[in-house]
Amino acid sequence: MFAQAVANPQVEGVAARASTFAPHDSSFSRKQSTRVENQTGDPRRRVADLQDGVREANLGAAWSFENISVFSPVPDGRMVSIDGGHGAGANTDGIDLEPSEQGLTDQVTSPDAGTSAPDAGTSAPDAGTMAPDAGTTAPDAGTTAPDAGTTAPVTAVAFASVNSTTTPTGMIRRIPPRINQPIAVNLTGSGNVDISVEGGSAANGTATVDGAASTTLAASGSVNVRGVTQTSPGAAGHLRLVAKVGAAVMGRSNWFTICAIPTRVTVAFSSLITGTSRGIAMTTTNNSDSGVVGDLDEVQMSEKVQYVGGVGCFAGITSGNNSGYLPANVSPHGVDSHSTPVSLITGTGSIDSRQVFVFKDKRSGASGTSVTNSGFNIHREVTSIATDAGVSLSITTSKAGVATTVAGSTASAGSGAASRTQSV
Amino acid sequence: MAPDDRHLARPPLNKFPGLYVRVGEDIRAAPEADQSVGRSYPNWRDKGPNIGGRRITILTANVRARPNEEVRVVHVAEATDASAMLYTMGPKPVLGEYVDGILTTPPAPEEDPLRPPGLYDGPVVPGPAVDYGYDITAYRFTEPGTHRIVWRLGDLESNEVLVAVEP
Repeated sequence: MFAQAVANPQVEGVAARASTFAPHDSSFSRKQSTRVENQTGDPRRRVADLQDGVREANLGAAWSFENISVFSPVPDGRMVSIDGGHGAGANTDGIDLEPSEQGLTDQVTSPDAGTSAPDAGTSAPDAGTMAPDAGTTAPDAGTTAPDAGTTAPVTAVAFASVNSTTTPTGMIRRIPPRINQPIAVNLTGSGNVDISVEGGSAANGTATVDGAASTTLAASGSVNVRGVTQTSPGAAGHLRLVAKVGAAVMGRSNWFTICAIPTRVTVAFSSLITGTSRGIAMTTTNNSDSGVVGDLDEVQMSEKVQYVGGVGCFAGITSGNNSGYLPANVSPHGVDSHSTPVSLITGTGSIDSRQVFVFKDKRSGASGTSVTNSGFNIHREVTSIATDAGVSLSITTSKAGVATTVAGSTASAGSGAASRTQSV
Repeated sequence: MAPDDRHLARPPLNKFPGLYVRVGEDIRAAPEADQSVGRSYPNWRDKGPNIGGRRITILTANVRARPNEEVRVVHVAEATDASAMLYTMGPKPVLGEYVDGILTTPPAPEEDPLRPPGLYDGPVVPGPAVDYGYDITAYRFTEPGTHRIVWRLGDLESNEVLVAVEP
């Protein structure tokens, strides 16, 4: 005798809470380290210390801390970055990290600085880096003090967020290789400041600043950061810009990763499906935001599909499906079949199928992230035509880009369209 | 790995895409123990017979079990020939699985056995390719002895897994 059951996964809950993040007064100047505890005890989950203390001190004022990196407990060891900023308002306790990697909340009703928006780290200069860090970045007075009677020496350098505009919401801050990323740099004071990339290595990735290992700014402006070597899997979030006067650090940017991602899916008609089914086959192609699809050698894409609005012969069809993950570094990505068994076409009817592409990237640790422009709708319409011989059925299968959401994954419209009508 | 399985060692077939399971409306990664079983497919010695460039195989972590111990079955379809196509949307319901000669799932369709029944919207992948996109089935055997599990889809028949249940 045996008993059968379709297996369900045992998914461990993932939750972590920061230790108390107490308000403090403006005289706070010592370095404070706050450790985020991992309640699961999963060794794959490495939660970084909150380093470098708190810069803003007044209760009710904005606060910030150094961005932290968090490894989630999935097998590929993906890592997310949590922005260290919070707008003004009462804040008397800690932060929660929730399993979606989206849920950094500050336990008050103000917007979540790290996630749901507005993202202080992406929509505006990073609060954690804008302010000078008196404890770590004070210039060497002996080398940088200006002559009497001139302007004050550089006392701080703030970077705008190092993050490509093509980075989807919820992904760690990253830039693609091969593309210049202009980063605004704000100098407080005057004098020459050297800007370079800190942490570069074969594993962490490498980047240039204005085409070289370092560049010098004499005033506020911008620099072009360009990824050269992509970050290796498991090494996300170990790069940042650093501004120095001599050996003294004047400021640092957020941590970032170098990795290419797909941002658009394009479809084109390939062939008619005949025989025991009717429909269309569509060639699917994805881009890379680095401009080179071959850069996506650690990226795989999957499709999510959900049926909606079935009537007539399609009434009652509501299930959804995912495809397996397929490599994203080949072009075309593959061929999608949109087929209807003839045996199912018993009368008139129609149904829509929403489709969104998602990807996972071993370099950044992204998983299940929507390809920004990859939404489609597949519409099936069965009509009847009266003929001398009776009633004949025909089916039109159409596919077109549309902004949509499938099983929690949201995408703007993908590109391309096709429509074909076949007799049944 | 048998001589005719050497293609499985080459990219992209050597990249295991992972196993997924349904949890309500959601689709999630399968438990690591199942992933490990699925990952072993390229080196699995007792694959199903190759029929027309296609074969189906079932895999279990163990072939010995205690009474009422769960035995989980991973399902893999492979197209070894470029003319054979795989429908990789899923995880697809397992059809045509037999335990001790008894059909324990809905029957398999008589048409293309690897095409899931009903509407299909998703990739069709020509061989050589491997499709891990099937549900994982699980059984508990109460009676000691040898129990036979086999998966049949049309003219395709998997390897037979013999589970020895010992008190």
